Amino acid sequence: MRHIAMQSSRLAVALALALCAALAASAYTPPVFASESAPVEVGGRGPSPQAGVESEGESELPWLFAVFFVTWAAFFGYAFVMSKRQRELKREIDALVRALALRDAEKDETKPEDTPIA
Amino acid sequence: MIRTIGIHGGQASERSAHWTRPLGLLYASAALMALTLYAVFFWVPTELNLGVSQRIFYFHVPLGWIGMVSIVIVAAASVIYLVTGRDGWDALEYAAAEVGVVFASLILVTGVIWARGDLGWWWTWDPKLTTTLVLWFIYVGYLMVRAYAPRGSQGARFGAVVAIFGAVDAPIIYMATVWWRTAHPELNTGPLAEDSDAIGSTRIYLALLLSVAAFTILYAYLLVERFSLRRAEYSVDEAHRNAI
Repeated sequence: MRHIAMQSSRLAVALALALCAALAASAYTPPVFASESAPVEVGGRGPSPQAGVESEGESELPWLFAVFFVTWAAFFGYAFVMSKRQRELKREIDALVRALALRDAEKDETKPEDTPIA
Repeated sequence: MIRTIGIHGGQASERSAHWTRPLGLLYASAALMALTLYAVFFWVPTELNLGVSQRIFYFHVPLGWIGMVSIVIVAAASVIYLVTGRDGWDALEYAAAEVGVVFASLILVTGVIWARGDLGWWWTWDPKLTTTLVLWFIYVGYLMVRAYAPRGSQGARFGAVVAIFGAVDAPIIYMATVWWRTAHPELNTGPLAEDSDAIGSTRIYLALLLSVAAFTILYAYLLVERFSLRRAEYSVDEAHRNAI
């Protein structure tokens, strides 16, 4: 039972490690975005840059950060909810085991009177 | 293993039900996610028109893909449940719907943020966006039906019917940019893309594949976890009924 209670926390730890690994890797990379490659254009009809807004630069970073933050917050939040449910289920199972064991013990106490020894 | 309890021959007893521990999926997902984050932020070139915010693409597209796949899984499990009546399929259906609603919510949120950053508006009643919002309502509707319908097989059957109708929305979302002119970017990859070389960069294409793989494995992990938890909940409910 302890294993299942730890599953969601393992998920949280694994995701956190993935984030840390990516950040650690970035320490060995020049602090610019993919400077090795020239900018490329993704074809197809799609959103075009807003007039008057620079197409590349720091002004767009908050939106990227917001998406990054919301996505990971949602996954960590869901992992937390699952972990909470598992703990509740464990408590429920323990209570049921105790209740049924008590009932069995009561039955065992009354059994000799019901069935005469041959 | 999870310990569950049951009544056998009038006696309380304990039995063990198999608890799936998809640690392989968890580790694979974590490793791929680390690679994806590195690729997205430090390896792929910056897109010419959209700039840095184009990197939202590597989150938004996999989330969209999984949101649509998940409703198809819910519908397929629903059909099999209606045919066989086995609780395992109902558990899979419920687990896929619950994990799917997380991904569907993230499709909308990431899309809205991206639109605000690049286009200057939060939302428009565009066919692709609207059908995706409908998908989100279908997921939420399914979960509400399951929450408020009678417990047991009747509630499961109601939910299965909602899921089967809901799955019709997935191909409509996918085809929305083909059927209608929309503000949403058209298909840049896949068999229905008008220009098969639209992405134009091997690095962007590989990073996209990597992120789709990472998020798909994360989804599979969450699905197996939730499925196992749902089956354990069934066992506990059954034990409660037997105890009473």
